[in-house]
Amino acid sequence: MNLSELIKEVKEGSNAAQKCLFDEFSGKLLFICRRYVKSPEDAEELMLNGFYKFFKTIGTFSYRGDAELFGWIKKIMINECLMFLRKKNVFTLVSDAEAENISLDEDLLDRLSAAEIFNLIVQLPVGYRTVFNLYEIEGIPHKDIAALLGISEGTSKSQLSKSKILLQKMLFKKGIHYVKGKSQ
Amino acid sequence: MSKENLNNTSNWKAKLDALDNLPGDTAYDKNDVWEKLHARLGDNRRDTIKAWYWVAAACIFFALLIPLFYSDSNNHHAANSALNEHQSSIKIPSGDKDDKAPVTNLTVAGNERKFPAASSKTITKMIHENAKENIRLSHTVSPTSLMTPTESNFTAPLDTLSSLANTQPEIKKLKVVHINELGDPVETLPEIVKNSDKHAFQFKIASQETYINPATASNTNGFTILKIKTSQN
Repeated sequence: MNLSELIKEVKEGSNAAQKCLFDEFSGKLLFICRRYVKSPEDAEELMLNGFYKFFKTIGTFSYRGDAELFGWIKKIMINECLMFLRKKNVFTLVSDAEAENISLDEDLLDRLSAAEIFNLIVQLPVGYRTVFNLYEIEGIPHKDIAALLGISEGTSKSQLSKSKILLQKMLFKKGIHYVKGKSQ
Repeated sequence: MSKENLNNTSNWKAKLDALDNLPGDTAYDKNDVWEKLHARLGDNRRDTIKAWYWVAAACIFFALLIPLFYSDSNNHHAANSALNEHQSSIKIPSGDKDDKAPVTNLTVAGNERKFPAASSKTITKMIHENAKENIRLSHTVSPTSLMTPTESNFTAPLDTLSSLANTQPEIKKLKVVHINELGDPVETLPEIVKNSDKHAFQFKIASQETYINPATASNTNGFTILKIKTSQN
């Protein structure tokens, strides 16, 4: 059964179709939540909330493709995570005067497995981690991140720079670093 | 940060998105999470049904309340309009300075009636007008509608005035007659009185029997006539 049919059945109120959708996406969505929220229990709860909202609002969703469906559910999950973090008031970030323009060598990260990248990101402090996730992985511009987190654009940029510096340090500790155009 | 390559999809990002388990990490119980989610969705459906029942009950309640509310408001409006009309119709004449006293000064304390500022003529006129107005209102407005607005304070003086008007007896104009036209009250006394006063007094003077008859005495304008009856001896 493809996703379009599943969505149609979910809209009609089929529990079996809901279960199929849940089984299809819950694993990936749980790890998305865990990228934002360190605690597995909190991440599980947020995923549950996200699915609940998804099933409640599925009537307004019009299926145009698998990628769009996944993007929509992912957006719901990320919003849940950001709401959770905002409630915990973790975004009381102080803006730095100058945000260094630090670029992260993506070749270094490509050499890592998904689990290794995940573990590196999870080790970042919550402010760095959130901005890094939103900007580098989700591709949200700084202006929108600032609006989402209730911080200034400069703060978002500085947080990203610091997160990259920290990641490079972590990579260096792992023995993965960039030496004069070559990665070792 | 000028360079924002938002559409750049790196290899590591795709790998991260596809991640659905970690080596060495305790896998979460998918079925348990699903049960929780399913229960929450089911609770919500039950809550929705319950909410609809409440909405229906509230609708029925309001539907029952509407007729009661309208009947009350109609009565209230009728009474208010009647009272307003009544209030506007009562006007104190503004001719004399004394007559400018407010109606609220009219008080009834026990049996004593006080009309402090208005002359008796004006008050009598007002009472008559008020009585007429009351008669007119009793024809146009039902008694229940007049009973309702007694809660409001401004109706108290009106009620006092109207009760005053109701208790005031109608003054009949008597014909003014000069006292001379009435004649002598003694002459018009009824006959029965005269007869009742007819007493005869008997006494003896020098062994002669004497008696006085008042009927005959009145005819002689104050002179008492003594009749002497001589004895046969």
